[in-house]
Formats: sequence, C-alpha cells, structure tokens
Amino acid sequence: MSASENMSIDPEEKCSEILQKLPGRHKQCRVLIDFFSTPSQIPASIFIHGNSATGKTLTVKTVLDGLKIKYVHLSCVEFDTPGLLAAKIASNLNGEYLQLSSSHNCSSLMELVENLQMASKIKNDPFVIVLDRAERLREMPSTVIPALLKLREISNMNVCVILISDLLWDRFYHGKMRFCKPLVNLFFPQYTKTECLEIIRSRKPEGVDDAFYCSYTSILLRVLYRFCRDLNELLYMANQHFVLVKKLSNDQRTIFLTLQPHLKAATQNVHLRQGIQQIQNVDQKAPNSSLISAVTAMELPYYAKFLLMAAFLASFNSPKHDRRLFAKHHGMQRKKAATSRKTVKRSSLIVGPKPFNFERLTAIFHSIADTPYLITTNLCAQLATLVNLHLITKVGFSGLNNPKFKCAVGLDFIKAVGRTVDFNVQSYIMEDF
Amino acid sequence: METSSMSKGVFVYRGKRSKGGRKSRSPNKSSPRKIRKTREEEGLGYSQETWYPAYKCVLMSLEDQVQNLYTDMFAQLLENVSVFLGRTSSTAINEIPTAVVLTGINLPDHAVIFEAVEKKLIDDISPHVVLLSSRTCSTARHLFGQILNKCQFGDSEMEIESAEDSDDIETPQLRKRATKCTFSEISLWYKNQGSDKPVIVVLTDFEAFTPSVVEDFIYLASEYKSEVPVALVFGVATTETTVHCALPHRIMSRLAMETFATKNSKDVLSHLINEVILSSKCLFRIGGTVFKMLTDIFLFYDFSIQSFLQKFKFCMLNHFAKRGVFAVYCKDDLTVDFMTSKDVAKSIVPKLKSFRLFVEQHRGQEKLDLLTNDDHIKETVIRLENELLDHFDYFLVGLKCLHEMTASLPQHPLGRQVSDLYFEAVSKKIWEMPEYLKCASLWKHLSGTELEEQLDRILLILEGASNELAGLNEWIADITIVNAKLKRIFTGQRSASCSPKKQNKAAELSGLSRTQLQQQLKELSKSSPVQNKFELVRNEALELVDKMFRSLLRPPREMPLHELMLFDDLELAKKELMGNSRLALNKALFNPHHYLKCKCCEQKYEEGISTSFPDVCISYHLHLEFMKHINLYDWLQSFNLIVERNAEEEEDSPVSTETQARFTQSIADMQFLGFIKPTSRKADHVLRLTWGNNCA
Repeated sequence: MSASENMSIDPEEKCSEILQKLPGRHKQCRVLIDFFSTPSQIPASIFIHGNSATGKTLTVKTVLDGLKIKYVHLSCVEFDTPGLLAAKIASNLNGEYLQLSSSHNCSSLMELVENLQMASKIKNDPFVIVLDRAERLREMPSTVIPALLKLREISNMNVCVILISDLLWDRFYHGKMRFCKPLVNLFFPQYTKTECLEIIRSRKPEGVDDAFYCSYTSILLRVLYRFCRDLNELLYMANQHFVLVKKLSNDQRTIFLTLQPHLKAATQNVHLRQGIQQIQNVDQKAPNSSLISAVTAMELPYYAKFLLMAAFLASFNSPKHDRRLFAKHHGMQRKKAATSRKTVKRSSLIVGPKPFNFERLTAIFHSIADTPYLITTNLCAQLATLVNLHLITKVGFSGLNNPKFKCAVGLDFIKAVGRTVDFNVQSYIMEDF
Repeated sequence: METSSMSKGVFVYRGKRSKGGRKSRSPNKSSPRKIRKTREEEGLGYSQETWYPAYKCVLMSLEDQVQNLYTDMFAQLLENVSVFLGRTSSTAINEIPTAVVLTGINLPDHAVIFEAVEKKLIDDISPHVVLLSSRTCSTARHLFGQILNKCQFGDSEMEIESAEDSDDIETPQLRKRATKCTFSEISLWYKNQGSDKPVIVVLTDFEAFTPSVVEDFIYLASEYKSEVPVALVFGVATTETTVHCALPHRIMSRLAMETFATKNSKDVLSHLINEVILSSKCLFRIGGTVFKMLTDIFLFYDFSIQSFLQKFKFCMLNHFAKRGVFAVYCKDDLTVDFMTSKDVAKSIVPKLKSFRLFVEQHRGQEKLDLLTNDDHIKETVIRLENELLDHFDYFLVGLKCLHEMTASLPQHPLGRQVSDLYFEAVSKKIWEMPEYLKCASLWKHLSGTELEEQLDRILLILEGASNELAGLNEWIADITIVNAKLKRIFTGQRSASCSPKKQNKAAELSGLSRTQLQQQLKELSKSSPVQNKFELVRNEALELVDKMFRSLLRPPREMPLHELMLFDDLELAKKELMGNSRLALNKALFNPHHYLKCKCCEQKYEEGISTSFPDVCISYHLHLEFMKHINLYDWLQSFNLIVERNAEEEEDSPVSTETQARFTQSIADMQFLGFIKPTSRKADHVLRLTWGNNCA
C-alpha cells in the first residue's frame, strides 16, 4: 500500500530518479516501471534475456527498490533444487508477511504455494520473485518452470516471477510446457559505444579531473571497442590502464602515445585478465611464439614428452599403419588391388583424435623413445600424471582391464614438444585414416 | 629376517610432518590415540635395532637441511603471492583477486609448496585459509561444505577425522555436518565470526577440478563479494592457458588474475644436490651408480624432488639396515670405538672385500697381525675409517674445483653439473678417463685471463673449505704462487709489447742466400718451438692443478672399508625403485617361491613344476610349452597329471570335479592377467598372447 501511495504522490519524480541511475537502459526501465507502478497491472511472469553485462539484474533491482516493492532475489546457481528454492522464497515471504516462527520450514514448491495462499489472506501486496541465471532451472524437474510461471494462478496471490537469463525463451521450451509461456518477454541489447562511455565515466575514480578522464576513456574505447564490447571487460581495462596515464597532463596526444603499446598488446589479450606487466612481456615476442614458450614453460620430463608424442601418434594414425611406421623391418608395402574401392581421403588431423588402448601406446612409445627398460611403474605413474593434467584424456568406463585413452593436445603443441627432443612428429603422421 | 623387518619399515613409518601454523590443536582430544599409535609404530619398526639411532640422526640432519633449502627457495614466491593478495584484498575492486601459481608438473611436490603457501598466508593476511583438493570437491556444494568446515573447525579436526579408523562412532556425524552446504551458510558464518579478513581459497590442483564446480563457486563468490571477501589461489601444473580454457568468459570477467611461477624443478634439483647431498654436511654418502640412477629417474620420469628424496632416504635406510652398527657416517660417532675388539674382528674382517684386499697388500708380521691380532685390527679399522671420512671431505672439495675447471669447456666432455663428475669420480680414477684427458688438452688452449679467473675461483673454493680441512693449505700456497707468477707475466707483457728475440731472428734470416736459408729453416723446424714465458707458467699451473686433482680425487670407492660408508648396491636399488609390473608378474608366476618364501616350493624349483605351486603358476608353466593355439582339453589333462601326481591312481580315471574347478579358476586368472584369450575360430581352444621367456 505504501508503494502505491508513494507513486501517487509523485510518480514522475520517482521515475526520473530511477532512470538517472541506469544510463542506457531507459527503454527497458520504462517498460518495467509501467508494469510495477500500479499493483493490479503487474504481470504474473516476466522473462528477461540479453548478454552478460547488459544490466539486467541491476535494472530490475533498481526499479523494484525505487518503487519500494517487496521482492526476493536469488540465483539458481546457489539454490539449485526446488526444495532449496522454495525454502529461500518462503523464508523471505515469512519475514515480510506472515511472521511465522522459524521452525515452520518449507521444503517443496507445494508448501511454498500453501505459504503464498496464507500470505494472500493476510494482505495482498504485490510480491516479486527474481530468479537470476534462470537457465539452471532447466536442470531441475520439468515441472518447476511451469509451476513458477503459473504461481499466481495456483496461489491466488499477487505474485510476479521474473526470470533472468542469457538465453532465449526458445531454449527453455520443452514438450511439457505447452500453453505455458511468460507473459512478458523483455530483451536487453548490448550497450552502444556512447552508453559504454557514459557508464565508464560514471565510475570515475575519486579525485581525478573530469575532462582528463573523459579524454582518456574516449581514447581507450576508440581502440578497444572494435575488439570487445563487453562492459565489464572495458571497465577492467579502463581501471588497469589508468595507472599508466595517471600523472600525465590532459593532452590527447601524450595520453595516446603512452597508451599505444599497451593497448596494442591488450587487443590480443582481452578477456584473459592478465596484468599489464605480462602484456608487456608478450608484446616483445612474435604472436606464434607464445605456444612454444608455453611448451618450454611446462617442462615435461624426457619420457613424458615421448609418451605424449606416442599418444598423439596413436590417436591420429590408424592402427593399420603402425607396422609400417614403427616396426624395424616392415618390408615393402603391398600394392592394393585395382578393384578396391577408393576411400575418400580425409586428413586425420581434421577428423580428430581416435581412442587407443594402453598396449598400443606402450608399443609406439618403445619404438620412438628407444628406452632400455620395459614399461615400468614410473612410466605408468607418468601416464597417470598426463591424464591428470588433461594432456591425455581417458575415454569411457573400460575399467582396469583395458583402459582407453585419447590425446588432447594439438599438432602445433606436439610439434613444439618434438622440437625440444629432436623428434620430427610430423613425419610419422599418415594423412588418411 | 632382514626382509621381514624391511617390509614393516616401508609401510609403518609415516615420515615426519612439519606442522608450522597450527599450534592451537586441542591436545586432550587427539593425544591418547596418537600416543598409542606412536607406541605401536615404534614397537613394530626399527627403533629397537642397534643402528637405528644413527640412522635417525642422519635422517634428521638431512630433513633439516632440505627444509632450510625449501624455505630459501619458496621465500620469493611466497612473498610475491602474499603481497599481491594483501594489496588487492585491502583495496576495493570489483573482481576477485586470483593468484595463479604455476607449480610445474611434479605432482608429489605440490603438497610441500602449498603447505608453505598456507602458512605464509595465515601469518600475513588472514586466518581463513582453505586448502582444497579436487578429490573432496565433486560438486559445488561439497566445495562450500569443505570451506565452511575448514573455516569453522580448522584443519586439525579434519585431520584427526581422516586419520581415525572407520569404526569410530563420532566420525560420520562430524562429516555429515559439513559435507554439503550453500554459500549463504558461509556468509552467515562470516557475519557471525566478526573479523573482516578475507577468506582465501586455495585450489591445489586446478586441472583436476570440474570446471563447472569452479565456475559456480566463482560466480557465487563474486555475487556475495560485499558480504564475504574472497581471494583465490589456483595451483596450475601446466600453463596459464589452462585457466583460460577451463573457465568461460562471463566467469573470467569476475577475476583479476596474476601469475606467479615457481622455480624450474631441474634447477631445484641441482641446487639440492650441490647444497645438500654433495656437501660435507650430508652424513650419508651415496655411490656413483645409484646416485646416477636416482637423478636419471628424476630427469627422465617425474621431475619430482619429493620422490627423489624419498628414494634417497630409501637408499639410506637400506645402507644402515645392511651394514648395521658398522655404518660409518660421522667422525664424532664411530661405533667401532665402543665395541670389543673381538666383535670388530669377527664382523669386519671376513665380510668386507675391501678390507681383505687391504690385508693382502701387507707382508710378514703386519699381515699376520691384521689377520689374527684383534686389538690391532680394531686400531686399524678406526684409523682407516677416520682416513676415509677425512678423504671424502677433501674429495668433495676437489670435485668442486674440477667442476670449476670443466664446466665452461666447449662440448662439456665431463658434463655440466657437479653430480656428473661425482658419478664417475667416486668409483674410478677420473684422471685416467679419456674425457678427462680431453679436458686436459683443452686446458692447454686456455687464454691467460681465463686461466687466471679459474685459478682465482679455485682458490676461493679451497679457502672456503680450508677452515675445516687443514690439508688444503699447501695447495692454496702453491696455487697462489703460480697465480702470482701468471699475473706478473701479464703486467710485464703489457709494458713490453713485442719480443725482441723474434725480430733478431728475422734479421738474421734476411741476410742469407737461398741454400743457407733452406738449411736454416730445416734446422728451425727440427728444434721444438721455443715456449714463451706465459706458456711455461701455464704448463706449470696445469701440472699443479692436475697433481692436486690426482691427490684430492682419489676414488673413495677404492679405499679400504668403503663399503661401510658408501651405498652402492645398484641391483637392489634398481629392483626396488624401478618397479616393473610385467617382470614381477612373470617372476611370480614362474617361481612363486621368490615372493611367497614358502618352504614347500623352495627345493623343488629346479625340478620345474611342483605340485605345491599355486594353481595359476602350474597353468602358467604348462602354457609355456604350448604353441599359438592351446587345446583346453590337453591343458586340463596335463594340469590333472601334475596336481594328482602324488595320488596313485589308475591312468584313465576321469578328472575329478574339484580339479576341473581349480583348472577353470586358474584359466580365468590367466585370461585376466592377459596371457591368453578365447578365440572364435576353434571353440575348445584359446590363443596364447605372450611369447619369449625373459623372466628366468
């Protein structure tokens, strides 16, 4: 009641106050305000979607706070079973409406509905349930989404469910949800460049000259916006690079010249969240060398390298070539009969790794590594280590008897590994599988 | 006897655990059980053996040194991580501060690193440090449960819990209380506990974590950031890109990462060898071949310092177990001193080959004394042991000097590391090796400044060690003289730039006729080139250095009683440390007595198959005689023949059902072990899969 009174006093002022807090989201904001300003018009369910960092949750929360509507916000990642979800909503509801003793707990959606029915008898204020990361609801039993969408119908209370997700509604749809659709579908588009600028400028660190920050951000965005439109990332970049120009005077040219090398490196490292110091290091090398430096940084033991290469050859070569490739005296290759069906030649490297068994791996390992010892426990432990590090993956549940593996690293990586021990991997790869 | 106590020693001892940070464990809860356990350990273990105190002393000194080494090594890394987390968690930023620690792929060593990290972070930043391993965190809620558990109760109780036997009544309740929880429970706990220190979560093996679990955790941690400040430490074994691959962008954008790398493990090993194992402080001396094997295992297989040390300790234990009280390790503590002359004579003279050789070198009365006079034997043994210990210290110094001279040579004929030299020099006269001769010829091409620098460095090493080893002083004096000569030549040469002698010769030659010139040149070519001053001094210096090496690097393994000090049992070490599962399997099947040590199979081994063998061994022996396809009926018949050998029955009696069952069982075992496999070509045949007999 108090909310509606406030609205009746000065709705326009409230509205502009909310809008001011949300630059770039005026349209979506207006829609929400229109819905929530009169309690009787609140829809039973709203579905909000849009990419990450487009202000979905922020907008909803600001509007509901601004209009003083009671709501509960929870993330489906944390409350990932219907029971937990219901318990959390009910405990919030109890605090607001029922003032029941805490011992009265609620452990299923059915009990939640009962609670809502009780609450509706006491007072009929609107109550909003905001579910963040709603795509996780799909992992719950298939009745949960329909139940939430029809919560008002079932409980007879003025309740509204807002689902927020990165995905489209189509992705939520399945057979049991016929005739069940959120009433309102609201899309949050990506921020435009000017909106990004406005938001970044609004988060200006304290004690910095306005005009200076303005020119700094416009230079930053001019370079980076082509590569990255994610607001979070841009904010992070703005924070990271501001240290470099902090002490400069407000001259566009000097700012640009100082930033240039860092921004150049940053265009290759957006989203990786590395500090600036490391960006400088990478900058000095050629872009291709990063992989090789990764290989040398990893420093595998000698036999582990051969084990990895053997795994690579085993998963990208067909077993029929093994004799020819690895046996010492393999003899001449028999000519195929002219009538044999022509096989379509596909590069095995494009098809992807095939599983191989342990015996084959050890056989190839011994032929390429030339070890004096047979397979030892140390070597088996090394294989386990490689599996643990996800360089080789174990396939299926074949158990102890005959485990199967797949190599999980790419050609470039294995070539770099081979180079460190003078072994040309590529000459052992047969092109057709 | 020896083996039985050996196996106990391997399994019972748990090793020392260094606990630094957590002193506040409740003593009354844990103590009674712990005390009982330690008593049991001592009762079962070696502690009653007479040599055990000596072993313990050597082990303790080794562990102390290793601990110091680790502390030095990790200091910089720990400081960096702690500074980063301290800085970022104090300033308010939107992201979760994340330190990515690249630990190298040596998995067994990670525990040591993270123990140090935990201690440092507890001391510097916050008491809430949680170490998590992927095994206990299969789902996000298990992960939260672990965090809450460790924050609330601390590590101590968890440890007791896991150490308890399964029949404990309290244990299930304790576990149940904290296996699963939601993040809001953590935030509730944080609100109640009052302090505003961040919760630092350390994921020790990032690769093995399910990415979705980490994703959910980071998402929620950043959602709750205002209520619970969280900082993360990822232990990544491979490279930073693993993190980028595992986490999607919307999660990455919630982190502010910084990468820290630990030291290259090869460097760590060479550091360890130079500072600890090949230093006079280490009381256990390992033989060249075994030592080489240990380093090879490290370089070729695992890069793990921890397992290297384990193997080193294993050699140590073996040495002490084999030599018993006679093991020589320290000059102040020669056990022979306290023993009666008779015991010494009885146990040393007949057993040690090197001592017998030593006796053979003597003639007449001296030899007789060495064989019969017990008191004289004891005196000699004490003298020899002292000599041996003394010489070994000199030997190590000599090795360092030689390393100084050889390390910078082209192509490294004697290797790059001190350990490479040690492998050879400890058992052979290194100056007789072709590699050494090659080095010696290369030294002759050293320039004056290079030689001078190397002599300076050798002097430094010698002077460093001369406090304890008085015998080095004469070498120092000699080298200083030569070095001074060398320096004098250089200062002299610079003043007089070209030698006048050569000019004179050229002048003499210019005035001659053609035949005279020819004559003159012939004579000149016959006479050896005149060495200039520098070459003379260089040769003098090199001769001196060579002489020094010959004296210092006398191989300890050729000295009498070396068996008591050096552990050089390569066969044993190889057998125990380079496990070969297939070989072991074949050996067990071929000769079960090797492992079972049963009396029944002992004598009958030569006869071939014995009735007392286990069934599967009989089947294995029989299958060796077959060709590629094995007829099961024939196999059964021969099996029956052997099993029923003793029972005197008529020949064509049917095979009893009991024998049939035993046979089937053994065949199934053989198939499981991978020796045979059924074939679809012939119904009553199996295919033999292994060939050759490399086990005998």
